[in-house]
Amino acid sequence: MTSAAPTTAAAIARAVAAGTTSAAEVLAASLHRIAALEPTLHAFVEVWADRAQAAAGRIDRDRAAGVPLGPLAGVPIAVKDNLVLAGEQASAGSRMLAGYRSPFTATVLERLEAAGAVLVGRTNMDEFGMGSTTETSAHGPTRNPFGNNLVPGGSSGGSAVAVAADYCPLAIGSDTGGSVRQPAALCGVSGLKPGWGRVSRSGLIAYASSLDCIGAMARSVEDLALWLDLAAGPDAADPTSGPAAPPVSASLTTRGDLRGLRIGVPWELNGPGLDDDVARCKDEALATAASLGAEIVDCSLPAVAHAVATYYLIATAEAASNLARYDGVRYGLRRDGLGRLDVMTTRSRSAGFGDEVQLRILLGTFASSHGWSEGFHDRARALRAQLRADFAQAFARCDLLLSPTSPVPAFPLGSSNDDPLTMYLCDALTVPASLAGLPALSLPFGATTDGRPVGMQFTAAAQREDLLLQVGHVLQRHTDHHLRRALP
Amino acid sequence: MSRFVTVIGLEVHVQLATASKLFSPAPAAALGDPNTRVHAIDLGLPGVLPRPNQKAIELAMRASLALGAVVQPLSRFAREHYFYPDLPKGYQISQFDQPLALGGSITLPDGHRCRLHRLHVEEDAGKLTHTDIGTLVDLNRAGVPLVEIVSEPDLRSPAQAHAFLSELRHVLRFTGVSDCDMELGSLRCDANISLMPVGSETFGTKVELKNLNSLKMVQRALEYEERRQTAVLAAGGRVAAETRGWHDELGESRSQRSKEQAPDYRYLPDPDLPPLVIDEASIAEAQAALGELPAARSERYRAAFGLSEVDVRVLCSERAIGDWFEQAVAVGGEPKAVCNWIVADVLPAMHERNLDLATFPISPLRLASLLRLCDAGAVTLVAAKKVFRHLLEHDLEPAGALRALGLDRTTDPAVLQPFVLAAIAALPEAAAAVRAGKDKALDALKGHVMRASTGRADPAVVETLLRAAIAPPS
Amino acid sequence: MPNPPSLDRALMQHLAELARLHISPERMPILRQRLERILAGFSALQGVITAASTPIAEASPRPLREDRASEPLPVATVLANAPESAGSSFLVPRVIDA
Ligand SMILES: [Mg+2]
Ligand SMILES: [Zn+2]
Repeated sequence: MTSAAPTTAAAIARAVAAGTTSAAEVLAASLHRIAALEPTLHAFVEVWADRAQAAAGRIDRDRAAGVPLGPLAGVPIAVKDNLVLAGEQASAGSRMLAGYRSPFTATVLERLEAAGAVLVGRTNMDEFGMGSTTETSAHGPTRNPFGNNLVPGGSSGGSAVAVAADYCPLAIGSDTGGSVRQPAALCGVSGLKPGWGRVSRSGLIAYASSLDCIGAMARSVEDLALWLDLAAGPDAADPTSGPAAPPVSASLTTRGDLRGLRIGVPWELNGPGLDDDVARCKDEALATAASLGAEIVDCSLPAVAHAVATYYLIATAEAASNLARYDGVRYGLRRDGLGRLDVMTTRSRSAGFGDEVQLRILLGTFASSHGWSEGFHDRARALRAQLRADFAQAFARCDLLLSPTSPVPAFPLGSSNDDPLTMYLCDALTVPASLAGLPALSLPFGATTDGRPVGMQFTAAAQREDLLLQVGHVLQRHTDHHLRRALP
Repeated sequence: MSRFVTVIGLEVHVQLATASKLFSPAPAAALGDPNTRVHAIDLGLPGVLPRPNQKAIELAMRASLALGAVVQPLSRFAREHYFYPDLPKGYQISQFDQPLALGGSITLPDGHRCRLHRLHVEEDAGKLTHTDIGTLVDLNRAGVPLVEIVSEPDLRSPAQAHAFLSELRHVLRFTGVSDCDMELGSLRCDANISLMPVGSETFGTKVELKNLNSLKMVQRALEYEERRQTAVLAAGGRVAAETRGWHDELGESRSQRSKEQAPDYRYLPDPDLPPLVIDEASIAEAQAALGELPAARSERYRAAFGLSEVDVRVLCSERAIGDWFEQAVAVGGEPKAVCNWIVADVLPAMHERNLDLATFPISPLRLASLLRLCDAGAVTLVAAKKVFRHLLEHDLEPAGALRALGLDRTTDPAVLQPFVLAAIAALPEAAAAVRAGKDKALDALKGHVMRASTGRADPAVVETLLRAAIAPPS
Repeated sequence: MPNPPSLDRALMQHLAELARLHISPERMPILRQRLERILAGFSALQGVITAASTPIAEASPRPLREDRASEPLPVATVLANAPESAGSSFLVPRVIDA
């Protein structure tokens, strides 16, 4: 029923501004599709129908009154359940925060609403971002539109599905070790993780602060550029945000092809351990890039060998710290302590956090505890510095690096829970850019023989989101991987 | 004579004089009903990030420089973890291995120099009140900016510890870093104390003392602990490494926690806060803004004005007092007289009216012109005090006030003679004594005249008239 | 450099207490095994020689916030998510001091 309707954020905003459609119509289509498919997919934890209708109504009234509209006017956007919106619930996929309502709004959401976006609801996620399948959510799993028995990836699985199922053209996620890029790859959509600090984290429920980045998923690179220009920029509420960078959208079409571009292929991210189909798609991607004029060069990131260990030690140490605030005192789940404070806190935390979160808190507590932190956390920080240096060297020779986003395509629900280490190795290709704080983009680039999407990851040097998106845009103009849909 | 040397080190927390908190824009005044000075950041709500306060960093730098500590070009905030309901995030943002400043010292009045180990910036915790229905949590104080100043173990007696704290308080108040009010909790102190045999170079086992809420309490608690440890050691025992809480009402300390139970704070560099980078230029700027410190000012006053030690101490107790004094002297006030007026009149009136010198109704210039009127003999001292009181209420020049009050000095015998006769009539015994040659008794009669004439009478003329009236020329 | 640790019961218990988590006797062996597996995988870190730890991913310093107090949250908002409160205070079970 929405086949004739515009399907990218940019097209919707143009149509709403031109009056060829209304924000209310766009939203109604979106809500209709959500109602039809949610019983199967469960991408949303909550749909803000009333709030969204009010926002759409305001935009349509503004247009009627001749008030200038923002660049996202009328665009329905799905929001990961770890971004707070004043007066609304946010649970970060956790029982701990069931019923919690924030008194303030995340900077990124404030900026999107100011640009006319219509926030339609909060999407399912792994609890506090800790997972790669969206199965650790307290709200139950989300299913991949490419196969209802398949995981959507995670932790921003709900947001990836919201785009993949055409609920919304754009969804906001967060990426700590790959949580935007990996579900984007597994669901066949485009996902951008900006460099650390590019988008204010104010209002993002923290997992691991030195790694957390707010990112977005969309059908098109053009929409990601549109989003980034609105979302990015220094924010007084986040002292680690900034510096300001020139807008990207305007420069998106500066390249017609990839001539003069050197794409590095770090063998550590493209070697053994890749699924056969993934390896094939990677070769096709390299061939496509080469056919568009890019020069493909081999390179190396030696510290990547330890990236997963480094990532998990740093992420869990910070997570154990960030999650210490959930003590049952000011908000969040509280269990009776039989009159004792320490018992109250211990019981509340044990009941509020799921198994994976508890496991990671224990790991992080260990990694930062007295006597062990030198051997583990401090060493991890040193390795992180080394990885940064490796990237700097690679970017001295190359403009972008390419690898698959995930070593494997979407796999069945319930198949990953036994061995956490194997699970963590699934993040091997995404955590390096996270540790180095670099921007990275995942683009759909082919599929397995049985039709599961495969994503390719491009990584750029610090502050080079512009290059990343320009190249992505060239590739999407010359290929149609991004247009392939799971559902009619 | 004790066979032991006492070794004391202090850890002092001082609240910085800012309008807002260290990492949130909530008011830093920890007053009012519980949780009425609280921002989402102070609650540690999901999604909040700390926003460091420029002024707090400036004041901490000022404190460092005033104490001779070296401000570090790069320092870093770290998280110190423990669970307690007064700590909303489950960690306190403090500084750990890279503090704001290192070194520095405080010289005590007895010349003893106590080195400082470090100075760092951190946020305060909230306040708990234990009641029958449970513990009440008030986060008004949570996030208030503090500096923690840690001394080296250079103090050798409880009295020195007391002197250290009053010197520290003096410097920090003088430089406007803090009001250092121990009763309001803006200066708090923990102490550690150990004993070692005379002649030994190795420190004994140290005990930490907490709950020291006044300078007096610090001294009392350390004296108690000195006695307790001496008794333990003299009996051949060992001092346990522990934290002890001081119970002032009982006059004793009690064990709170042994060393083995020392918590693991799991320090972590705070990933939400960029490092504090302080360049040479801003250190120089802070140094310039620091101005003259109390020690230098005291020295200058002693040398330049020949004032007593007590006077110098009062004038240098606060920067504003010395500044006011110097302004009055600069416009011609005689230093000793100005000082006397400040001590006897200006400061009491200021406190009485709950004012500060910036808003004090009498300017240094006006006090100086009042003093000139006294010097010129235009007004008696008693009348001058009346004029001073009048000036507190009215925006007038002293000469104008003098006339308005009808207090300009009179030497007219026709005006004064009735007062003289009344005094002799009122004090016949004094008059008789004068007549008998006891000149001392003249003072009582003169005083009577001065009072009756509301201070207008010229004392020299009064004396002549009194002598004439009591002992007619032979 | 510490060796890859074996997480004995006491260490597990210590970590759980530090983290204010309760590990039931049934979950203890499972958690222990999982943690040990992870740490064994990570013990490769131990052998890696790295250059002196240089500052890692961090933001360039931004201008600090001006010291201006703004309106605090209304008490009703402060307490809106509180599991329990009394007057304008949060209420918790009595703190037991050591
Ligand atoms: Mg401390
Ligand atoms: Zn402290």
